[in-house]
Amino acid sequence: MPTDEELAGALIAARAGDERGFAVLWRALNPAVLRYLRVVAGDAAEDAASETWLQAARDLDRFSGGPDAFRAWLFRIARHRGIDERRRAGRRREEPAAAVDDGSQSRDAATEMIEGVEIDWALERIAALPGDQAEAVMLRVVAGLDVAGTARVLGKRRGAVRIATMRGLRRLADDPQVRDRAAGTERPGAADSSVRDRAAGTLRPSAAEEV
Amino acid sequence: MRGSDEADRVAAGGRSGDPGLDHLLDAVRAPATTAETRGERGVAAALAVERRRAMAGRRRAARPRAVIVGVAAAVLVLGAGGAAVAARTGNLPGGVQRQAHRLFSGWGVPPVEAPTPVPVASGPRPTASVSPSPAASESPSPAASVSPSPPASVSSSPAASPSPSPSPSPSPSPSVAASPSPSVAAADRVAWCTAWKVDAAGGHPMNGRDRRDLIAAAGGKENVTDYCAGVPEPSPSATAKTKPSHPGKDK
Repeated sequence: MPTDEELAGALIAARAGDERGFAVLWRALNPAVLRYLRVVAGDAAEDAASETWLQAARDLDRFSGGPDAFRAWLFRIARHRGIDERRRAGRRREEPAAAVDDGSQSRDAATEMIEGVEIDWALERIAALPGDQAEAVMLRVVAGLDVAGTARVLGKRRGAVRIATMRGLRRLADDPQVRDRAAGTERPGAADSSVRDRAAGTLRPSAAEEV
Repeated sequence: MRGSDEADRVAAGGRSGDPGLDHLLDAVRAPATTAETRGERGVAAALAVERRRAMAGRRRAARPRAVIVGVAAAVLVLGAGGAAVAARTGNLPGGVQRQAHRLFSGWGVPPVEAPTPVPVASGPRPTASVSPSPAASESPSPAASVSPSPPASVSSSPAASPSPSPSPSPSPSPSVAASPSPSVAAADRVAWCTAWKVDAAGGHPMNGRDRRDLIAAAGGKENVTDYCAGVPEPSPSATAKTKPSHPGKDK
């Protein structure tokens, strides 16, 4: 994960149309955007993510602020594009689902399946929550927004965001599948915590917690 | 998860002590997968191109693609039931007209009390079946919420720009209304707002009155307020409303 300074530099470069700036931003934030959109837009997540970034690229001069503000801004776009794409996807549901991979599947495919399977499962459980809870959890936990940022993205009061987050987390903790999963995949603590640390460094920014 | 304080802590990365929940949150925070970052160079190049195109468009004061695409939506927004006509001829109620001018001045929506009622050019209009009736200027006819299927035209066909260029006043003077100058930023705002309106037209459970209020007040719906009001954020208290809830209207 790039530092805040690197991200700030990337923002300036991207605004000027520099490809490397976009590369840094996209690499740092697209995984979280994509995961959030998989909850919001389901199968249309990839399309919605593309639309999100294109719109962000077009409108970047309208944004001013640092990396944290950019994150909130980006997720606000993502939310709109996600809702948009979901609606569109609903309308063309009769059509066959997106094409299967173009045959370039090779040794990577197996690796990807393994590394993605827990994420898929977890996103599925979160997506099963009531909509406002699912979004609040995703924006807080995965997007790394603080309560205020989440409230702005969702257009809700902070109190409502906190309650939705709490209810969502409670419901997840009570989810039988969630309880069973942990029991079934018990691993050595060391491996677990190293994954967690990397995760924290990758997707979770220094979320400034309001009190 | 005893309370929202603890929930805040866990959401921000703390451990909950619940093995199942912690496992799930770890999974969802896991580092990027190969699939999630594949194609970085291609994407970055495409974004840079998009960015430069937007910049070039603005420099030449040409209409950025998004704006062109937005025209159809703008017509839709103002459009159904002849509101577009009313707006361009200055026949909307004051507040609405002011707002319409602020948002759509680029396309010949005059400011409030504009002296010259413009003879309306018969531009192509997606919702042509609804004839521009005078009544439309004061009542948001229920038809306003119909707007069958705009997004298809928006996403693809370049023909979707029913350019209102026939408008005789290409540069409506901003002198009357104390609104932000109809600069590039105004065009941007239009694109942004109309994109949202496309969402709405595409099935968002929102009635005609809501839509008109939205245009008139540039807000009420929280995110629209944020987007449409542009950089100077409106007071957050005005945006307190939650999601539009239309019980039983879900598809």
